[in-house]
Amino acid sequence: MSLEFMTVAMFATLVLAITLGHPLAYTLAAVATLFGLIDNGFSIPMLFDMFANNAWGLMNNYTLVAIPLFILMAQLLDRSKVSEALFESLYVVLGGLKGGLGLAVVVVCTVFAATTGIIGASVVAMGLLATPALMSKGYQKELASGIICASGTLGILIPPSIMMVVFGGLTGMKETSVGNLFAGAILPGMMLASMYFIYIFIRCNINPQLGPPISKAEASKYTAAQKWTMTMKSLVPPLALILAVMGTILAGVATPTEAAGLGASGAMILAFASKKLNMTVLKESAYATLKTTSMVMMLFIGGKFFSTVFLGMGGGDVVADLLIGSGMNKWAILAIMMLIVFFMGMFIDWAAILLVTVPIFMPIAMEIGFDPLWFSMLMCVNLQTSFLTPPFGYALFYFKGVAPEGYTMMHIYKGIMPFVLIQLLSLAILSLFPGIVTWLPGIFFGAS
Amino acid sequence: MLESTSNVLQTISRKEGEWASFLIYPLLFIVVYEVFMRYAFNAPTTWGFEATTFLYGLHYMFGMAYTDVHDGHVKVDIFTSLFSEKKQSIFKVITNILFFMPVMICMTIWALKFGISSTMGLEVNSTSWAPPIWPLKLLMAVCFLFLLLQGVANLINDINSLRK
Amino acid sequence: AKREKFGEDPRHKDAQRVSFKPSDEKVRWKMVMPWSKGLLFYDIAVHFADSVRLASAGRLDIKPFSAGELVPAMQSFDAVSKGSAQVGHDWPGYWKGKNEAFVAFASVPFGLDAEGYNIWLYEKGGLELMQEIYGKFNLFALPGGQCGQEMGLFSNKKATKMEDFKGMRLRTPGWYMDIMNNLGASVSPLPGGEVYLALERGVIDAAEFSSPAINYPMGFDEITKYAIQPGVHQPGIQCALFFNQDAYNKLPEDLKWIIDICAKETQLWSYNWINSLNAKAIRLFKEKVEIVKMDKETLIEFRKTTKAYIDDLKTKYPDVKKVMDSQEEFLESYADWRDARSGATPWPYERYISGQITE
Ligand code: NA
Ligand code: NA
Repeated sequence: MSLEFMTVAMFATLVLAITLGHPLAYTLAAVATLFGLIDNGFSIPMLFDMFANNAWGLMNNYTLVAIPLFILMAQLLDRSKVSEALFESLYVVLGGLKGGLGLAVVVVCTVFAATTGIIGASVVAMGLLATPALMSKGYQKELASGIICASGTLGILIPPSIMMVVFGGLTGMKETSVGNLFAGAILPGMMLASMYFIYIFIRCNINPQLGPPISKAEASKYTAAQKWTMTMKSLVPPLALILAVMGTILAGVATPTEAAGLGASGAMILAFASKKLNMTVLKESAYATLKTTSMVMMLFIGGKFFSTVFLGMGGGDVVADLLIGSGMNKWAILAIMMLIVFFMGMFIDWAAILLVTVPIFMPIAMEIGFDPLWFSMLMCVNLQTSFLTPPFGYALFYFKGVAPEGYTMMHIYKGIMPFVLIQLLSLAILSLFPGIVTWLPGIFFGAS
Repeated sequence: MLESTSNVLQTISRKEGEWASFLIYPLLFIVVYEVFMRYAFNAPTTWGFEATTFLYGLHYMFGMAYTDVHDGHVKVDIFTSLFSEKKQSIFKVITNILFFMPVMICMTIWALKFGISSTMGLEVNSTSWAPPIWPLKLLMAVCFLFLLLQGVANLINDINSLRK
Repeated sequence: AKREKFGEDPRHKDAQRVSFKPSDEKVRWKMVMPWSKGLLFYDIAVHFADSVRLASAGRLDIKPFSAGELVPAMQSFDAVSKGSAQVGHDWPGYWKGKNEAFVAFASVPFGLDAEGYNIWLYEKGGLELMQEIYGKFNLFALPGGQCGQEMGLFSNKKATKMEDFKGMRLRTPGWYMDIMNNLGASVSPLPGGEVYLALERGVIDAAEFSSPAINYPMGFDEITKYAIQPGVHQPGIQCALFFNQDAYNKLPEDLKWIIDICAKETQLWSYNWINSLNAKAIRLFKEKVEIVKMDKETLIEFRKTTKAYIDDLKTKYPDVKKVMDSQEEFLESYADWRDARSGATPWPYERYISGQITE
């Protein structure tokens, strides 16, 4: 069998196999086993010795230690209920504007995105917190779903983010170290949040029916000074956490892994301060942390097996020859890679996509002369769409899980579309202005 | 008989996971302790990085079966969820036997071989602290065994639901 | 008495009458290594694979995989030992956890330099010892790259005297880490990827990583003030090639010879290549950092501590004793010649006549 055939067959088999609904991680490992055996002349020992080696290597990856710590941090933070206070104050501060409550959701999510490394907690928390308020003011269901799902997903782009931890752990290059990726994601993350903000503001001003303001009486319940104090007070805990995590990384006081530890400790202190810390919370947080961590790491194992076999049989070279050897210009190659990632994002989750595509695409991007950090950021922004694109989008499922009666999957799918388009627009902007990505890492770490 | 076997296996997955989940706290403690010692006493430890990494590795490895028993491993079931319960069970049995079992049986065996060859040489880490790593490699095999047993429990449950 | 010819080349007898036919077998091998593509060590590994491909007209095709592509960096040893890949390239010190004696084949503080490794390995029994240790793990080993002396510490603290090193926070791996700890420094084994940031932000005062050409891209010179010389911790970086014994045994005779000769060619080429680059890199470093030298008393003190440390290792590990005794014996037997010839160092004319006559 020719190498080209094997390469295509391996991907095709994967696509078919995942539709059978078996856990993705096991499916990746199974497809890797099948093709690994075909490639090495059906030597089971040779293949599984290699798998055992790879499984052990993952257990030894210091960079990835940040993953369970960021997850623990999110768990503790979620239980300390600090986002409620911020939403309550922004409710009266921004509520008076057309689309104001939606804007409040964007701001709360942006602030908390800078404290948390994962997304599940934000979407669920905002879904529970904001949906009833949005509903009672008569927000259009589609728009309400879109706002919460899209804003809740900012947590994976605005640093800290386990997506970037995974990315850094996967490439192991200095240019794409977790610190650099975090610094590089700050401006793109802020930009995307602003674009959501502007979009909601404009859309609701054109058609106030979509997102009406709160009543005059409700808005003027507090004086301007009171509103100011409320907001400032509710901003203290998240800002302290941002300082503990991003501050220590950017100041070089701590490695990203250590910063994750500081963040988790900070979240524990916050939970303690809000009198929410007890044995039950510690126990539940530990259970939930293990569940999410092992889910990600199991994908790491399956994805590692898959990419190892794929690269081992020379599939990486086939894809590279196909793209680079085609004589296409480098922007066309970039567009193709981005399209592949986008389409995979509709069906598979981000971690599996990263684990499968990065080992293949990264060398190609570097060979055609793209800045590795910038390319990594395009991948991350692109992968952020995977949480939102139907049919398989985490954020959509999380939201559906907590949304009130009357929200159908259709409302959610429709509501999310404009936000996906905004993400793609931001991808285009980053492609045209790479400085948005590379400027801050240059300042903080002298990179690129 | 079969059902009680699967219950026992699931209880094992649940219990070992609940115990292992607490590893996150010593892990957190060591990470923070390391930063503290470095800044407060100018005395970084020689063992902090390694100890952290070992705890992290064991933590998620023990969690594989635990996550499975709680149905926490992500899957693309948007297509199969359209089928009847019965058909879904058939799919689960087939994919389990086709995808899961062969890989995890081999994984358990070869992880064990990997652990045993390290144990024979009483392998230590190639660092200054040089802690023994052979126990960790053996535990890696044990964790794959836990996952395999959890897969057996899933298989029993799905076959049982077919017979109903 | 009549004097015989002073030496002979033992290989000549085999080569005189070639007892095998050229094979037409095509062999495809995978090669793993702890190197990422950005490191010059990667190029050395690839150079060997290229040499073999060229010399065998493609009959033995070795495909190199950088760190993590096939197996994680530090799993290369196990992967080849078990046969998941057929060849590996390494710095043997990485396998110290498998057998402490591996470090002796990689570089020993105040130990062999490039010349020393070449002579010891090929002429004084080093190769046999090396193959004995690797052989315990089902591996056949050959020297596979010699990069010469490493660079000393990049540091933000000027340290040339013994007391300067007390309390210094630094990063260095292996035996030297223990030695520095014994000298009162505070050594942290930071993972490679964390070193730059730790150094820049003062988490550590000093760090070392390899020879000038290899660490130039890492930019340590941009964030430190001094480079403390000489690199006594690694006077000679010796790399190795290791082959799965079963895969090697199956090779036809002519390919085995090609491997042997290409490994030697790699050993020769790597030294020339890296050191010509080193000369260029050190000039560039000099623009950014001040190069300071440890004084004589400090070096002697370091040497004493090192000796005590290695003697201690010898009592703990029989294999270390065997290998280090052999190296020390070689140093002893070579000393008269080293001394007799010293003074003819090829310095530029001006330096020489100013009195700098030894290295
Ligand atoms: Na975040
Ligand atoms: Na999606």
